[in-house]
Amino acid sequence: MLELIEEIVLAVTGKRGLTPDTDFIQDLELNSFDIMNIVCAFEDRLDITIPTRDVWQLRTVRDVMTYMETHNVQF
Amino acid sequence: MCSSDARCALVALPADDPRSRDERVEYAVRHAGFPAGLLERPPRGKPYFPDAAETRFSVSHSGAFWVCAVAAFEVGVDLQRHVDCPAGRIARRFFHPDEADWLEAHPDRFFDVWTAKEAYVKFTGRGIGEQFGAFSCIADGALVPPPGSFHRFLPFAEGYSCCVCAGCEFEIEWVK
Repeated sequence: MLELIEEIVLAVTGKRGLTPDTDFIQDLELNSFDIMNIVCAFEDRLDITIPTRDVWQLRTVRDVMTYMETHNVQF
Repeated sequence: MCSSDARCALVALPADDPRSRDERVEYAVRHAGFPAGLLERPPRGKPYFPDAAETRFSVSHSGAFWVCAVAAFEVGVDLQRHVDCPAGRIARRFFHPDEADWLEAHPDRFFDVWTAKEAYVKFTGRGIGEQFGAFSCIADGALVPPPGSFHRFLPFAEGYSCCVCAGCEFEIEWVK
């Protein structure tokens, strides 16, 4: 799952070096548009919809991994 | 309510400026000639200056730049570098339907709509949430500020859109 997240973030933002503790805003210095762009990429890749209210709870790579597991996202 | 001082100062720094985000804000506010002090970040709500209650500010960063808007009234600013992206997909997913429709006919204005919307939600303090697609910056076939607000698009560097939004008419002052 980490590899998938790395792949999508790299494709959208050009940023590398993710770990589970990576904070998208503090560590990668992404802005709101970057986040929304990444969300669209995830949704298209995994054929899911992430409610906007959930997006801003996903601050780290680990948050995304936990969210995917909790929502039984298949990839 | 806007004060009698309708000046909104803009301070831009390189994105790789070595100061912390709070130090940048404190510098920008002082450099713009507004009362400052040390910034406080409450657990909820917007950061503020306890010793300068009249000073309001908003920050944005994209690409090679960081920008801060400072005023004596609530203000929101958004700066966005034009990047390759699935603009139509993003518009259908996050924007108001009227905006997505308008952008089909005006695809080169995508980042203007984005910055207008984000400057507005920063001005209101609501941030991007479920309501981001509930309001429209398109009315009568034109890009306009949502009701109760005023906005201005500012010339910035090539390949960037920059919008400032407030609750009253305002004048922009670039501070070098």
